[in-house]
Amino acid sequence: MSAAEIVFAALALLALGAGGTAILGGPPARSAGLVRLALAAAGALALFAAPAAAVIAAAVLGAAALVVRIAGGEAAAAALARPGRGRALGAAIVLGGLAFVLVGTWARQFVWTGRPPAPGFGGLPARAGALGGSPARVLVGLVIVVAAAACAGPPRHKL
Amino acid sequence: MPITHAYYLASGLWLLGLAGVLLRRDAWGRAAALVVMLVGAALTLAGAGRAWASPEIHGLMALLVAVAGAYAVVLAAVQRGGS
Repeated sequence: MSAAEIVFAALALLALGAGGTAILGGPPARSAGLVRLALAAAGALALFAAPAAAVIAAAVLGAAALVVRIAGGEAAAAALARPGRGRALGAAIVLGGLAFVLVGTWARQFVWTGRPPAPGFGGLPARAGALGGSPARVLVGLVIVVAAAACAGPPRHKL
Repeated sequence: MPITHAYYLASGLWLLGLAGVLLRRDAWGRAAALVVMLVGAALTLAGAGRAWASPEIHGLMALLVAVAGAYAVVLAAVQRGGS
Protein backbone atom coordinates (compact mmCIF):
# COMPACT_ATOMS: atom_id res chain seq x y z
CA MET A 1 0.00 0.00 0.00
CA SER A 2 1.61 3.28 -1.08
CA ALA A 3 1.77 6.46 0.99
CA ALA A 4 -0.81 8.05 -1.28
CA GLU A 5 -3.26 5.24 -0.65
CA ILE A 6 -2.72 5.54 3.10
CA VAL A 7 -3.43 9.29 2.98
CA PHE A 8 -6.47 8.69 0.80
CA ALA A 9 -7.74 5.99 3.17
CA ALA A 10 -7.38 8.37 6.12
CA LEU A 11 -9.29 11.10 4.25
CA ALA A 12 -11.97 8.60 3.25
CA LEU A 13 -12.45 7.45 6.85
CA LEU A 14 -12.62 11.07 8.00
CA ALA A 15 -15.20 11.89 5.33
CA LEU A 16 -17.39 8.89 6.14
CA GLY A 17 -17.17 9.53 9.88
CA ALA A 18 -17.99 13.21 9.40
CA GLY A 19 -20.95 12.30 7.19
CA GLY A 20 -22.26 9.95 9.84
CA THR A 21 -21.84 12.63 12.51
CA ALA A 22 -23.67 15.19 10.39
CA ILE A 23 -26.58 12.79 9.84
CA LEU A 24 -26.89 11.29 13.31
CA GLY A 25 -25.69 14.12 15.58
CA GLY A 26 -27.48 17.00 17.32
CA PRO A 27 -27.26 20.66 16.21
CA PRO A 28 -23.65 21.42 17.28
CA ALA A 29 -22.34 18.04 16.08
CA ARG A 30 -24.19 18.44 12.78
CA SER A 31 -22.36 21.63 11.77
CA ALA A 32 -19.03 20.23 13.02
CA GLY A 33 -19.65 17.12 10.91
CA LEU A 34 -20.29 19.25 7.83
CA VAL A 35 -17.07 21.19 8.43
CA ARG A 36 -15.06 17.97 8.75
CA LEU A 37 -16.78 16.60 5.63
CA ALA A 38 -15.81 19.79 3.78
CA LEU A 39 -12.17 19.44 4.84
CA ALA A 40 -12.02 15.73 3.99
CA ALA A 41 -13.64 16.33 0.60
CA ALA A 42 -11.19 19.15 -0.09
CA GLY A 43 -8.27 16.87 0.77
CA ALA A 44 -9.62 14.12 -1.48
CA LEU A 45 -10.11 16.61 -4.32
CA ALA A 46 -6.54 17.84 -3.87
CA LEU A 47 -5.42 14.21 -4.27
CA PHE A 48 -7.52 14.01 -7.46
CA ALA A 49 -5.42 16.88 -8.89
CA ALA A 50 -8.39 19.30 -8.65
CA PRO A 51 -7.21 22.08 -6.29
CA ALA A 52 -9.71 24.64 -7.60
CA ALA A 53 -12.56 22.23 -6.94
CA ALA A 54 -11.17 21.61 -3.45
CA VAL A 55 -11.20 25.32 -2.60
CA ILE A 56 -14.73 25.75 -3.95
CA ALA A 57 -16.07 22.69 -2.14
CA ALA A 58 -14.46 23.70 1.16
CA ALA A 59 -15.82 27.26 0.90
CA VAL A 60 -19.35 26.23 -0.06
CA LEU A 61 -19.72 23.41 2.45
CA GLY A 62 -18.06 25.47 5.19
CA ALA A 63 -20.51 28.32 4.59
CA ALA A 64 -23.40 25.85 4.64
CA ALA A 65 -22.14 24.44 7.96
CA LEU A 66 -22.00 27.98 9.38
CA VAL A 67 -25.62 28.62 8.33
CA VAL A 68 -26.73 25.31 9.84
CA ARG A 69 -24.94 26.23 13.07
CA ILE A 70 -26.55 29.65 13.29
CA ALA A 71 -29.98 28.25 12.44
CA GLY A 72 -29.53 25.78 15.30
CA GLY A 73 -30.42 28.39 17.88
CA GLU A 74 -29.22 31.45 19.78
CA ALA A 75 -26.91 29.48 22.07
CA ALA A 76 -25.18 27.83 19.13
CA ALA A 77 -24.77 31.18 17.38
CA ALA A 78 -23.41 32.83 20.55
CA ALA A 79 -20.84 30.06 20.95
CA LEU A 80 -19.31 31.15 17.64
CA ALA A 81 -18.39 34.57 19.09
CA ARG A 82 -16.45 33.51 22.16
CA PRO A 83 -13.08 35.29 22.76
CA GLY A 84 -9.96 33.78 21.18
CA ARG A 85 -11.92 32.02 18.47
CA GLY A 86 -10.80 34.45 15.76
CA ARG A 87 -7.12 33.86 16.39
CA ALA A 88 -7.56 30.10 16.48
CA LEU A 89 -9.60 30.24 13.25
CA GLY A 90 -6.91 32.34 11.55
CA ALA A 91 -4.19 29.92 12.59
CA ALA A 92 -6.30 26.99 11.40
CA ILE A 93 -6.83 28.67 8.03
CA VAL A 94 -3.10 29.35 7.58
CA LEU A 95 -2.10 25.81 8.55
CA GLY A 96 -4.89 24.35 6.43
CA GLY A 97 -3.79 26.40 3.42
CA LEU A 98 -0.19 25.23 3.86
CA ALA A 99 -1.30 21.61 4.11
CA PHE A 100 -3.49 22.10 1.05
CA VAL A 101 -0.57 23.43 -1.03
CA LEU A 102 1.74 20.65 0.13
CA VAL A 103 -0.79 17.87 -0.56
CA GLY A 104 -1.69 19.34 -3.95
CA THR A 105 1.97 19.53 -4.97
CA TRP A 106 2.61 16.00 -3.77
CA ALA A 107 -0.50 14.68 -5.52
CA ARG A 108 0.82 15.72 -8.94
CA GLN A 109 3.56 13.10 -8.56
CA PHE A 110 1.03 10.26 -8.49
CA VAL A 111 0.55 7.97 -11.39
CA TRP A 112 -3.16 7.60 -11.82
CA THR A 113 -4.74 5.06 -14.13
CA GLY A 114 -6.35 7.16 -16.82
CA ARG A 115 -5.49 9.73 -19.43
CA PRO A 116 -2.53 12.04 -18.74
CA PRO A 117 -3.87 15.49 -17.88
CA ALA A 118 -2.92 18.66 -19.70
CA PRO A 119 -0.63 21.18 -17.97
CA GLY A 120 -2.58 23.32 -15.51
CA PHE A 121 -5.29 20.68 -15.11
CA GLY A 122 -7.47 21.29 -12.06
CA GLY A 123 -6.25 24.83 -11.45
CA LEU A 124 -8.35 27.96 -11.27
CA PRO A 125 -7.55 29.17 -14.83
CA ALA A 126 -8.63 25.82 -16.27
CA ARG A 127 -11.77 25.93 -14.13
CA ALA A 128 -12.55 29.46 -15.30
CA GLY A 129 -12.03 28.38 -18.89
CA ALA A 130 -14.35 25.40 -18.45
CA LEU A 131 -17.05 27.58 -16.90
CA GLY A 132 -16.59 30.32 -19.48
CA GLY A 133 -17.06 27.78 -22.24
CA SER A 134 -20.48 26.83 -20.92
CA PRO A 135 -22.50 29.96 -20.07
CA ALA A 136 -25.65 27.91 -19.59
CA ARG A 137 -24.05 26.08 -16.70
CA VAL A 138 -22.96 29.36 -15.09
CA LEU A 139 -26.49 30.72 -15.53
CA VAL A 140 -28.02 27.65 -13.87
CA GLY A 141 -25.60 28.02 -10.99
CA LEU A 142 -26.50 31.67 -10.54
CA VAL A 143 -30.21 30.86 -10.60
CA ILE A 144 -29.70 28.23 -7.90
CA VAL A 145 -27.71 30.60 -5.68
CA VAL A 146 -30.21 33.46 -6.08
CA ALA A 147 -33.15 31.13 -5.44
CA ALA A 148 -31.44 29.81 -2.30
CA ALA A 149 -30.78 33.35 -1.06
CA ALA A 150 -34.41 34.31 -1.72
CA CYS A 151 -35.77 31.21 0.02
CA ALA A 152 -33.48 31.68 3.01
CA GLY A 153 -35.21 34.89 4.08
CA PRO A 154 -37.98 35.13 6.65
CA PRO A 155 -41.49 34.13 5.56
CA ARG A 156 -43.38 37.09 4.12
CA HIS A 157 -46.89 35.70 4.03
CA LYS A 158 -49.06 33.78 6.41
CA LEU A 159 -52.12 31.98 5.19
CA MET B 1 -3.40 4.75 -7.31
CA PRO B 2 -6.36 3.21 -9.17
CA ILE B 3 -9.25 5.52 -9.90
CA THR B 4 -11.65 3.02 -8.36
CA HIS B 5 -10.55 4.30 -4.95
CA ALA B 6 -12.33 7.55 -5.72
CA TYR B 7 -15.48 5.67 -6.72
CA TYR B 8 -15.41 3.64 -3.50
CA LEU B 9 -15.33 6.82 -1.38
CA ALA B 10 -18.03 8.46 -3.48
CA SER B 11 -20.24 5.38 -3.35
CA GLY B 12 -19.76 5.09 0.41
CA LEU B 13 -20.80 8.70 0.99
CA TRP B 14 -23.76 8.38 -1.36
CA LEU B 15 -25.02 5.18 0.30
CA LEU B 16 -24.50 6.71 3.75
CA GLY B 17 -26.62 9.68 2.72
CA LEU B 18 -29.28 7.42 1.22
CA ALA B 19 -29.44 5.42 4.43
CA GLY B 20 -29.86 8.65 6.39
CA VAL B 21 -32.67 9.85 4.13
CA LEU B 22 -34.52 6.55 4.45
CA LEU B 23 -33.96 5.90 8.15
CA ARG B 24 -33.97 9.33 9.82
CA ARG B 25 -37.38 10.59 10.89
CA ASP B 26 -36.50 14.20 11.71
CA ALA B 27 -36.12 16.80 8.98
CA TRP B 28 -32.66 17.96 10.10
CA GLY B 29 -31.16 14.50 9.73
CA ARG B 30 -32.72 14.04 6.30
CA ALA B 31 -31.42 17.43 5.17
CA ALA B 32 -27.88 16.58 6.27
CA ALA B 33 -28.18 13.18 4.58
CA LEU B 34 -29.18 14.86 1.31
CA VAL B 35 -26.11 17.10 1.50
CA VAL B 36 -23.89 14.05 2.08
CA MET B 37 -25.46 12.34 -0.96
CA LEU B 38 -24.70 15.34 -3.15
CA VAL B 39 -21.09 15.47 -1.92
CA GLY B 40 -20.75 11.79 -2.84
CA ALA B 41 -22.08 12.48 -6.32
CA ALA B 42 -19.66 15.41 -6.68
CA LEU B 43 -16.70 13.20 -5.74
CA THR B 44 -17.78 10.70 -8.42
CA LEU B 45 -17.53 13.51 -10.97
CA ALA B 46 -14.12 14.53 -9.60
CA GLY B 47 -12.82 10.98 -9.99
CA ALA B 48 -14.22 10.76 -13.51
CA GLY B 49 -12.70 14.13 -14.35
CA ARG B 50 -9.26 12.89 -13.32
CA ALA B 51 -9.67 9.55 -15.13
CA TRP B 52 -10.68 11.27 -18.37
CA ALA B 53 -8.46 14.36 -17.84
CA SER B 54 -11.48 16.52 -18.68
CA PRO B 55 -11.77 19.96 -17.06
CA GLU B 56 -15.40 20.33 -18.18
CA ILE B 57 -16.42 17.70 -15.68
CA HIS B 58 -14.97 19.91 -12.95
CA GLY B 59 -17.37 22.67 -13.97
CA LEU B 60 -20.29 20.28 -13.57
CA MET B 61 -18.92 19.23 -10.21
CA ALA B 62 -18.76 22.88 -9.09
CA LEU B 63 -22.44 23.20 -10.00
CA LEU B 64 -23.27 20.12 -7.94
CA VAL B 65 -21.36 21.46 -4.92
CA ALA B 66 -23.25 24.75 -5.29
CA VAL B 67 -26.53 22.79 -5.26
CA ALA B 68 -25.42 20.97 -2.10
CA GLY B 69 -24.60 24.25 -0.37
CA ALA B 70 -27.86 25.83 -1.48
CA TYR B 71 -29.72 22.77 -0.22
CA ALA B 72 -28.21 23.10 3.24
CA VAL B 73 -28.87 26.85 3.45
CA VAL B 74 -32.48 26.67 2.30
CA LEU B 75 -33.33 23.68 4.49
CA ALA B 76 -31.71 25.36 7.49
CA ALA B 77 -33.77 28.49 6.87
CA VAL B 78 -36.97 26.47 6.45
CA GLN B 79 -36.29 24.53 9.65
CA ARG B 80 -35.63 27.72 11.56
CA GLY B 81 -38.78 29.34 10.21
CA GLY B 82 -40.88 26.33 10.98
CA SER B 83 -39.62 25.75 14.55
